[in-house]
Amino acid sequence: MKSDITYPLNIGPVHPAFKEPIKFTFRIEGEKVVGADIDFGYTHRAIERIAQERNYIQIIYLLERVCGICSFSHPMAYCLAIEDVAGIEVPPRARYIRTIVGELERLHSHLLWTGVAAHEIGFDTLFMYTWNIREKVLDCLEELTGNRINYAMLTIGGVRRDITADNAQTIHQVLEYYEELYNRTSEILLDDLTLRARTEGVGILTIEQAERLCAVGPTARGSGLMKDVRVDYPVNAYYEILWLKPVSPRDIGKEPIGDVYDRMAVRVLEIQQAIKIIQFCMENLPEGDINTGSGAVKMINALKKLEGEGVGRYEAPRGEVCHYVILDNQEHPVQIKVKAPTYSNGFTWAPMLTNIEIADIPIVVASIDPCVACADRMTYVQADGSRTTISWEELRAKSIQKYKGVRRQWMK
Amino acid sequence: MKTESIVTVLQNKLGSHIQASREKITNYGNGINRVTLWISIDRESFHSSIAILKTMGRLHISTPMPYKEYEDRIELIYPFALKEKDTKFSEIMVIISVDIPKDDLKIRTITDIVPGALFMERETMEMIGVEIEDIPDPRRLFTGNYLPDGVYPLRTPKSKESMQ
Amino acid sequence: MNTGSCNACDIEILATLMPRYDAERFGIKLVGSPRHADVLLVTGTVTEKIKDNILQVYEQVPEPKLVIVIGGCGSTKGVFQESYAMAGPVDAILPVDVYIPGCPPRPEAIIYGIAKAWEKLEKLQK
Repeated sequence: MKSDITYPLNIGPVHPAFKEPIKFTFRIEGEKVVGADIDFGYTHRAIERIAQERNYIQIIYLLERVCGICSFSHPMAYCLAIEDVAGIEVPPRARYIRTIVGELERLHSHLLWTGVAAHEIGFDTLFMYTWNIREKVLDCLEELTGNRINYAMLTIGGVRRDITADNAQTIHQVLEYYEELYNRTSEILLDDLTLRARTEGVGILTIEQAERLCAVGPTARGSGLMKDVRVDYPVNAYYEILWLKPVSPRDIGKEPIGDVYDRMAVRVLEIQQAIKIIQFCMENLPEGDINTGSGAVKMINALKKLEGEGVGRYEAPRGEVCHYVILDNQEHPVQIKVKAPTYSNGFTWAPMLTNIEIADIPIVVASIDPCVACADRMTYVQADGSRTTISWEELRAKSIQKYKGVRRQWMK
Repeated sequence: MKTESIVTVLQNKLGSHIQASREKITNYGNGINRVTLWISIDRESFHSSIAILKTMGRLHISTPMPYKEYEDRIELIYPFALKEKDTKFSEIMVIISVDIPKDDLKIRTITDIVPGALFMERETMEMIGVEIEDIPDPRRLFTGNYLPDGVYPLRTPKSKESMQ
Repeated sequence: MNTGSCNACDIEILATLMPRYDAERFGIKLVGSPRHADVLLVTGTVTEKIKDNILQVYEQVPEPKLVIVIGGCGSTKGVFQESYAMAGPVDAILPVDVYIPGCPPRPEAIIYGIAKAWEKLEKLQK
């Protein structure tokens, strides 16, 4: 029976995304979601405004704090943009090191995402498992860069630290470790029946919608849209990797329909792709300088005399990061515009969330990887003006209940 | 795709409304190029030029709009990534800039052509103070209600002090 | 809860609870609702838009309660000093008991900070 009454359901705003936690307002009809509205801005920190008062080198470290998970991608795009304006040529060794660190970050980010996604549907064993194996890549990044998160690896015109022979050995060990685990992990993620039952056919984003709404990254690729900055636009060492192509669910023999499962498959396949790219880069790592050799002061002085505009694009784990900088003979850029992947993908939530069950909200929201890392959110249900509160915990409990129900069905 | 053909197509259809264009090509060897194309268009034909671009391939808007401020006008910059065919490294940046006089800060929305630009247009209204005409959703994107009307964060000379 | 952080601290809090560091063996557990919490972990400086929400959350935590700030920007505003969107460091809004600096702090530091808070909580309960 169809009910005429729809209820508003608010989720958030205490919820971490890229620059800001998000508040959702859903229109609910029984158990079905019929509409979704998104409110941004809860962690809007005015980074673009602050950047107008910092010098070129300071901005790198400011941009690292746009997002703690892709803390390599934002400074990367910024450095590419500045190098584009100034015409700085990056030494080949630096380009390869950038690629290696970028792919290690992708490895850690995708493992993090699979964990979070498993947590959202109540599969906590998998959550613990992926986060445990993720520690290995964090150790590797720590040895390489000096920190687990926020690597401070980049500078304009190159990188700040070299990969030594010891580091290279660690990277090889880490890659071996992940290669061994990859089959087991992908089997759990792609073939587990309960996981499939919860993700297949849920939260569909068609290829037309993805293209219209300018989706990026695994979200777009999950819908079958072949969009990958690494392949569309030459950056770092990617254009020297001839076999590189965008991942799609077709690689495992499935025609993409754009559901949660497809997006998950893309991420799992990208873990494998990242391992291959790092292997390629380690084998072909050229000798030479790791930066242009001019120090921070010299660099700022050179950039101070420049005028012009530049674009820097980079494929972060979650999609395209794009920075646009305008220089005008000053010690700081007059304007810098930052676009994070979730900014583009945030829009795709509306079609995805329509016509799903309340219990599926967590996994669909998490499926575009908006860094749903922290579990602290609140939910209010407003019914006929009287206000009842259910916590995120209860919403998740609902999700777990569904998971168990599905599992029981499969057991029979 | 050749940048000249984009400019020619636009010029054939819109004539003198295309004010200027320049391109920058960085070569990476093996025939791989990074191509950026800047086109200045006047406000009347801005909307139709986006519609023409849309017919040429996959049009993706890359960042929210930056701007340049002059004495009497604002130059609003729309960075697009245009991809015509499915070959590698064929995506080019097409950066459209539009001059808007300061006493009439208005421009028509492009969300009817590129729906994914809605957030960016909302941010432009909020941060720069350019009014987007016919925008489907005119709410503020980031700052909620704590900034007074008529304060545009990216256009104030000093951030915190002047705003309080 | 996240009041305007970049996520780095949040993922380190979660890493603290994962098998490698396993804070749960000490009896430290992440709960899904502030109503079940003894201690409120706050990451990031407080933005203007979230200011009211953080007070609401704080009021939901039952007494006795403690607040731990995690990360450099929550303690002092860090790199976001000049921002117009900042209402202040966390201690301008809430009474803070323990500060854990670092950007982000390591999981060991987080465990140490929570242990410090625990000692204080035991004193309060007496």
